[in-house]
Order: sequence, then C-alpha cells, then structure tokens
Amino acid sequence: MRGIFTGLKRINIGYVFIAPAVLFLMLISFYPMLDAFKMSFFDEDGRFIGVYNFIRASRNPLFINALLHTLYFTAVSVIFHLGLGLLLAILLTQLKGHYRTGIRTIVMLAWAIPPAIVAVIWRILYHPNLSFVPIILKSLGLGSFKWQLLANPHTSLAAVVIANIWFALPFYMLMILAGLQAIPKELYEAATVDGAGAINCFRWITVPGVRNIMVTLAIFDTIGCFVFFDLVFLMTKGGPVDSSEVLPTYIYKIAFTRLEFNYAAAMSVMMFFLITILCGLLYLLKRR
Amino acid sequence: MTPPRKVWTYKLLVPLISLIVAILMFVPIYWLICASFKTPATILEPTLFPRTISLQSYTKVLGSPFFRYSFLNSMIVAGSATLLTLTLGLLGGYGFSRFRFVGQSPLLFLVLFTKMFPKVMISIAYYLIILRVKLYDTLLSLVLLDVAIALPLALWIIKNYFDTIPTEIEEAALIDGCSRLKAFYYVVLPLSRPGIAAIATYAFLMVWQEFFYAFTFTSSMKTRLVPVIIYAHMGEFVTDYTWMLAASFLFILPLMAIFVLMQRYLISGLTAGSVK
Repeated sequence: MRGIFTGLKRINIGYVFIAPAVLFLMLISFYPMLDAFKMSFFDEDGRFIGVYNFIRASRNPLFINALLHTLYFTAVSVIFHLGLGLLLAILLTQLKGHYRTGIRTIVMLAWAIPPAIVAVIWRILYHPNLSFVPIILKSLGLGSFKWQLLANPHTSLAAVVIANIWFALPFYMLMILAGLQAIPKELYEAATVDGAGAINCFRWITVPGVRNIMVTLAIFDTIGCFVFFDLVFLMTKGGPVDSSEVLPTYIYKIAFTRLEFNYAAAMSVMMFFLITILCGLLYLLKRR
Repeated sequence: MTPPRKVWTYKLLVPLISLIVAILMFVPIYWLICASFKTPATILEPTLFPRTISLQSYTKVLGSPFFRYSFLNSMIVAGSATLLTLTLGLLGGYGFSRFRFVGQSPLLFLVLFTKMFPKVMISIAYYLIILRVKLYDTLLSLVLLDVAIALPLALWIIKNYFDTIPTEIEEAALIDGCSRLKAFYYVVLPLSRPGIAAIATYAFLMVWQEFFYAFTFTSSMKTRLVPVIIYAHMGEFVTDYTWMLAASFLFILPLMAIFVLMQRYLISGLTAGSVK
C-alpha cells in the first residue's frame, strides 16, 4: 500500500516539474504550428478549399525561385560550415593550452554578433565605396573586378552565403572540436606505430569518429539555414529583382505585405515538410 | 624527409595558419569598431585604421532618445526572457533528469522538436492570435516567443548537467524530511552554478540577437528593440553609416562582455550533451 502510494507520488511530482516548461512550449510553439497547418486548407474568408493553396504555390514561379535559392543557400552554407569547421577544429587540436583558448575566443566572437549587426558589417564590406576590399583588389591588380556584389543579381545570393558562412562557422568549429577531442589518442598512436601517415589517420580514425557528430550538426545546420530570415532580409531584402529571395523572406512578404495569410501558411507547411524530408535523409547517414 | 625538419615546419606552420584564420575571422569586427570611431566625413575613406579618433557618432547615438529607449526595451525583453527561461528550464530539466515517468522520452523529444519549427510559420498564426488577444505591439508577446526559442536547448543543456550530479545528496536531504522542491532548491541548485551560467548566457545571447519577432510584432516606437532600430536606419536612401556603426557597437558591447566572461560555461554546456 505504502509502496504504491510512494510510486504514484513520484510520478506525479515528475510531471509537476516538467509541466510548466512543456505546457508553455505546447502553447507558444505547437499551437501556432497546428493553427498554420489548419489555415493552409482554408480561404481568406474561411471557406474550405482543400489543397488549392498548395497547387497554387507549386505553380508559382516566385515560390519555385525562392525554393531553389533556399536549397542553394542551405547546401553551400552547410558544406562550408562543416568542411571549414572540421579543418579549423583539426587546426585547433594541434595548438596548446592558452594559445588555443585565445584563438578560439577570437574566432568565436563572430558567432556572438547578432545577425542584424552581421548584416550591417557585411553590407559595408560589400559596398563599392566604403569597403577597403576594392582597394586591396586594386593593389593586387584586380581593379577591373567590380566590387558591387549586393547590387548585382548574379552575385547577391552568394554574397549573403559568404556572410552566413562567416557568421556561423565558429559554432560548428567548436562542436566538431568537442567531437574530435572525444576520439581516444591511443588510436592515433597505434596507427602511427603501424606506419600510417596523416592522410590515412584522417581517413580511418578521424572521419568515422566524427561522422555522427557531423551528421547531427548537418541536420541542425540544414534546419537553421533553411529557415534563416534575418540575414538575407537585412542584407538584401530578397535582392535586386528577387535574386536572393529565400523561402522565409518570400513567405514573410506574402503574409505580412500582401496579407495573404492562408497562402503563406500553405507555403510554410510545404517548407516544413521539405525540411523534415531533408533531415530524415540526413539521419539515414548516421551510423548505428 | 628527416623527422626533425618535419616537426619544425609543423610547429611553425600550424600556429601561423591559425593566426591568419583568426585574423580573417576578426577583420569584419575590427572594421566595425574602427569605423565607428571615424568622423562622418572620413568614413568614406576606407582605411584600415582611423586617422582621427572621433566620438562624434557615439555622442549622436547616445544622445538619441530613440536609441536609449530601444536599448532599454532590449534589456527588459532579454532580461525577462532569460529569467523565464531559467525558471521553466531548471524545473523542467530537473524533472526530466531525476524522474522516470510515462512518456518521458517522447515528451523530451517533443520539446526538442519545437526547435525545428520555422519562425515564419509560427509567426503567421501567432500574428492573428496576438491581434485577437490585443497583445499586438507589446513587449510581452516578444518575451513569450523569445522564451520559446531559448527554452528547448536550455532545458536539454541543464538536463545533461543535472545528470552529472550524483543523487546521494538529494536522497540524504529527502530522508531528513525535505520535500522534493526544497531538495531541488537548497541542494541541487547551489551545485549547478556552471550549468545555470551556461543556460542563462545562452538564453540572453539568443534573445538579445533576435530580430524577426521583434520586427514582425511591433509597430510603434515604444516597443522597438535595437536591431529593429538599426534596420530602420538601413532602409532609407540616405544611410547614416556612422550612426549605424556606433549603435551596433554599443549594442554588441554587453554581448561581447558577457560572452568573453561566460564562454567557458557556455561552451561546456553546449558541447556536453552533443558527444554521443
């Protein structure tokens, strides 16, 4: 009898502790999501129109445009975040103590900067008159290369991608560094005794060791880049003639500028499903 | 190649490359700081070091009531959101860490799953809800949303941290007649200072940086936050760059200070649960 009572009491207390947090998230995060999902099947006047919004979106060239840009943005960002992050992390493992902490702090400052400020900094860096980059280019003899990346429809998206890479790189470098440090040193020592060079060590010890972390980070980064609004909006607002429009900025425009909330909800549902599929595919890369 | 020579170039090359990388990563920030100390006239001269140091833009920015007011707003929102995240997160993390109950894993997964929700998608429905409950253009709506951003990961970090604290001390307290809540408050919390520092820093960082919600759900001057103010200065034809740079630097100053001081806790908190 007493055993059952203490058992019940324990379960209840556990629920009590997590209830505030869980309920809060259900209310603030989950409920709007479900609401948006429901909204996508309806009209502005409240009539049920089924999948009409979805068909309309898939036929909309601007939507497809934003989608392609988002895929490009995400793919390039993730590849560079993880690739450069891995290189930098390996570099950092070779450094000692205080020097390593110092370099790590300096590099990590870029991550602590709000996207709004990152946009300010890079807008100035990309500015033909205000930035010091054209001067450097000119002195290197590349003066004919017009430093006008944000106003040029061909390069606007790439310019934003570069800023995104710079901004988030420290975070991924840090996480990969943690993963690298988890690989036992004995493996490397045993391999070098057996005659393995740096490249073989990398291929057979490092890569399998960080593979799971890299996939987790890839999933995290994919989601983050796919829905990243702030940087793109603040740097180009969608770029000269939609050349740097991404899904978040486009959905924002449809919802809050054209006030077509249901249409925007449908597009965001499609975006969400895409993210889920992409993450699912990436998850398959994980080692059991 | 003889091993000694290889080691020598190795020992020199690695620190050198890492220094170059660090400098490259830092240059944009350095540029921001330098340029903000230039006069409005010389800002059009892209030199790497200001010829004359002038505090002109800073006096302009600090003298602007708009900036001061929005800075205050940012502090209010970030502070409240951090406090709320701490409250919900510590309680929730403790619950997930110490108790076994039905639906524990699915609920934890659900909490982390909310991090996958796109802000744009939430904001569409949230906008209409906010209008209905007349919370539009208030700081409260921002605080609620910002907590929802920071809470999932904060809860995860602190749960992992609690997992590393042995339960013997709490059990001793319980035997002595402490209630669960008291044991949590008087025993576990004082031991968790690093973990608390980690999630408080993380929450503050996330909320201070936040732009999208602050931009979408406010329209009047009284609820503006600093990132939105800075953006407002960008969109026009005549962009006051010195103002923007000075404002930006003032804005990131608390962030940098907190970050440099707390980075140890923050980094250990973030990386603790990820190496699995």
